Amino acid sequence: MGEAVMSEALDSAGTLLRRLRSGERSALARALSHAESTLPGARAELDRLWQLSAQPAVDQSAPVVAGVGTDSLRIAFTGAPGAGKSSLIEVVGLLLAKQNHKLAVLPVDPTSPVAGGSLLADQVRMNELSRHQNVFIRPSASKGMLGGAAPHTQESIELCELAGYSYVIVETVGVGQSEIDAATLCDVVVLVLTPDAGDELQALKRGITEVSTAIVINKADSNRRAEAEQLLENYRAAASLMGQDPSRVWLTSAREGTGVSDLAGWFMEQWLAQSRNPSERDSRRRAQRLHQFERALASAILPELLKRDALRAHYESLRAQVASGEQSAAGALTDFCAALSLA
Amino acid sequence: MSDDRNASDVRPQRFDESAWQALFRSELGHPAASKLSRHGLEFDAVYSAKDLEPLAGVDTTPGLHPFTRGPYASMYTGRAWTTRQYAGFSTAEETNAFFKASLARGQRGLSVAFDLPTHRGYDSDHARAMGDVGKAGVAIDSVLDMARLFEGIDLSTTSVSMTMNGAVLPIMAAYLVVAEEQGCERSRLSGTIQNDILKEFMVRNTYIYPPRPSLRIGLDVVEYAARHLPRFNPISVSGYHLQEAGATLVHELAYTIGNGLEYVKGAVARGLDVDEFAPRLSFFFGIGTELFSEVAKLRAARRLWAELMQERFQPRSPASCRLRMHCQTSGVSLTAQQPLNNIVRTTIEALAALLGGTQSLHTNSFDEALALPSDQAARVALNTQLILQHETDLTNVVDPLGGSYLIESLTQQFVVRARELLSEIDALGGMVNAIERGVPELAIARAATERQVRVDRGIDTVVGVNAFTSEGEAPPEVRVIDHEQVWRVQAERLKVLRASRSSARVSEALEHLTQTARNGDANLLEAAVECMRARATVGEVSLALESVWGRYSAERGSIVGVFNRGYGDTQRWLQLRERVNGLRQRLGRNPRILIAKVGQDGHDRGAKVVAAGFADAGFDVDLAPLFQSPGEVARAAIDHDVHVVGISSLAGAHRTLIPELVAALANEGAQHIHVVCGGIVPGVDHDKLLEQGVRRIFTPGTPVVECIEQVIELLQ
Repeated sequence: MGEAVMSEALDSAGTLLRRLRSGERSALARALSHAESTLPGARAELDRLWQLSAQPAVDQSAPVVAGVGTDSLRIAFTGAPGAGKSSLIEVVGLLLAKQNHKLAVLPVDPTSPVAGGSLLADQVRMNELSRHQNVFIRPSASKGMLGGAAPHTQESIELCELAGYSYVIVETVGVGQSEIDAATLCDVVVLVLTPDAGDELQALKRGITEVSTAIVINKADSNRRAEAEQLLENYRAAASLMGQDPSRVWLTSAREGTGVSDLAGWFMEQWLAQSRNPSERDSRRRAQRLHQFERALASAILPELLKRDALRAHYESLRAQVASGEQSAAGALTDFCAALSLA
Repeated sequence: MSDDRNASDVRPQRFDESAWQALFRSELGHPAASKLSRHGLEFDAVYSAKDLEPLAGVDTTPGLHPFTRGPYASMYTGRAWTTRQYAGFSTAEETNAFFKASLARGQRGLSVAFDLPTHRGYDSDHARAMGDVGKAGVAIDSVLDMARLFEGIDLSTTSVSMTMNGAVLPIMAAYLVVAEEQGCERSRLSGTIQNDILKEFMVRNTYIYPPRPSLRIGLDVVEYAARHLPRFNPISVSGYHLQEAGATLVHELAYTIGNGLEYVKGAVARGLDVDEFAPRLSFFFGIGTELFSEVAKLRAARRLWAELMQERFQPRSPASCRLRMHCQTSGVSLTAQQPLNNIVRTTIEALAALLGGTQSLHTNSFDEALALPSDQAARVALNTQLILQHETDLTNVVDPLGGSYLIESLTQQFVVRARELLSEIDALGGMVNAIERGVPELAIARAATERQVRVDRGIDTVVGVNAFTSEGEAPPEVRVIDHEQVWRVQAERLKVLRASRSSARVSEALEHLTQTARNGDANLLEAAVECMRARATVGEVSLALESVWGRYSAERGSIVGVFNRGYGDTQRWLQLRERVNGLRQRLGRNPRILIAKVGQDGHDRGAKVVAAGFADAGFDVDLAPLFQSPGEVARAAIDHDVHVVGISSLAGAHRTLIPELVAALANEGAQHIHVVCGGIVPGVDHDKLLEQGVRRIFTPGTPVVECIEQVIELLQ
């Protein structure tokens, strides 16, 4: 065991950056582990790495592939379990990889609330893709984050970009709000539905899918084609009502390979459009980073405050009062904030 | 007066429930209660004639509908069952010699085991085949190998069973061409081809193409047999592999009957008359040590099949409702510890199969939890059947347990429970739909994981494994295959074959096969026979079809949560979770393990169960796709930055593929990733593997918890 931990700590940021930029898979793998890590050493090394990456490369002999955010398209795939997200990524991803685009895929799986462990089996559905030399797949556990993405996903995306991956796909299990969360991480959100997704049509009408930039009706196999086309028409109608671009709806069948090249083509167009308009992309990147920071800050701040004993005691008593109905939630909040300003 | 009472006390009386209850309580101090067997069957402590009353029609005639008491009137009283030992060793020549010796020793039919590359449609010289060539069965690449396999064996008089599903077209075609070139009429061929592709998608995974085209292939074989092979069984609907993968007996029964009905439905839908082919369908069941349950399962299978065939397809011929079967003793009941105990287990299982009325039987060798059978072990296995046949009174009577209160009640219980499961399948739109949704696969994985937890916790006793263990026994001698030699021979023969045939004729035949697959208008087996006549290889025929349908890789589920529930808050489990927490703190993230199988072996019960255990213990577990090369596993291990790779090896590939994996990791500078392995790894190979860098080896019967503990130790 010792070796792994020791080498993890000793990998200096400069070496790691150079290896990352020269496309070493193991360097990206290590950097992604650092992003997940709770060890102070790992954090420090990544922080140093980001500082270094912002400076011009010193070692001119190492090929510089790409810096943060350069020429990359971030794509979120979201949708209910069983919608066929992984299989669709496999087919579309292969089309991109075969045209010499470098593609990273970051599937996020739920973590078991009981044991804190998880079963990561996405690669099973991306078997051929996982063998392609232009592709890097790294599944990870959501660590209890409800929004679908994991706390480290933002940084993981940026590390993939640093390693020269020009397409980064984040795959999350869609539960309600996850599309919105994914949208704050990515440039393009693809909501994957099945032809029988009538319920989700209701969701669309309620506006949950407002943030989706593309909708894919997958599993539109030849025997379900009619059903899928009906759904497509309904979506188009709903999209125009809501002032969205109704052309961004695709019918695909990952199994039969239909519709997938149109989707891959659209990704490539988006990539081009983005690289032609770097200022828009950069402002989106800034917003994405700020959003992630604020979200992380909000979730970290309470545990930090409760490290103070007096405040914790007050918090516990407020909780008891709210639970018993003695005090309203709003009243308790005012009370807690008042205690904060005194503390 | 006292004399009178004594006289009445000894006079036989009918079963008196309340008297029995009272006596039971006075003996044990508590009332009698029914028990659930590990397969979920309910057993009362005693049965009586009263239990038979609600069962209408128990007293049926052997050989007549619904065949509960046997498919034939005479059963073993006229002609004993067929002893049919499944065998295949390395090359066609060696297997041929073994077949001839077995026939001379009294075996009645042949049963061919193919190696994994053949199952998966790869020629022996394919890059993905290397580690598996000649292991777990014979390597067949072409008609020439098939001719060597049956050299000197008259196919018109010897019945041949072939366990082939994925590559059924080239293998069946090669067999037909060899018979043709022996001068044997097709109509005289007798035997069985397994050709049960549906169960491959539930367990075992030796499919090649997606479910629907695979089903078409299977039905083309059925149709061909209906036209040309009146004495050949074109499908052996198999429950065996379901039981081996951990299914309960009720699941085994229900899903097997369900698969059988799906084949009949498919064949009828393409216009075949049910009576043209249904009489030739045969079944294959696994037999474990729970003797009475197994007997009842086989009797229930015959009744269910007869009833359901009648209900759904209204055949005119009674033979269409008559279920004939082959049985094999359970492989998963064999233990690596105290292997001689396996002879006893196998004997009990064989007895159960025969009391249940099987038509043919394979008895396992006692060393099969350790390696492929040695000559000695194979002889003992065959002798077990010969002793049952010649030294017991088993063959004197038809359906010896018929009318037993217990057996008849259990038979009924099986029928009722299986019908419940079958209506669930019907509600999903039939077996193919259920399989595509992973329903049977998940039910089986759950049962397997639950069983593992019970054995690990000692709730289910396995002698020599979790109770009555002993130390320091000498391991038996096991068979070792020189696979490199087999590989060289096969590769050389392929080279000679490719140089000597007319390549124009081969490409023409393959092109025709591809067209047939694409158009869907003609019989694929006809087209495959033409390919084999032209000396195309098994790999070429498979590839020609793959170009139309692709190679399929199923999604795999694993049951998370079973270990946490099963171990609850036992001290050992809590401690283990605590140690994982400690590791998490120190590593800065969850300990991460990649569970993979390498090579062409698709038996993944063990891998799934172990994956579930590690995830429940708090590891992040990557479950790799099946059929990976060592290089692919190394790449995933590095990309996912795992701490440990756990390889499950059951078919002898550990000797080449695991060292290759260790080397591949080292090549990429990833020596820090530990490699551990489990499965069937003979003791003689342990030192070598440890020397080559494998850190831990887990033999069959090692509790999953112990594997997890050892891996934690490795990481600490």
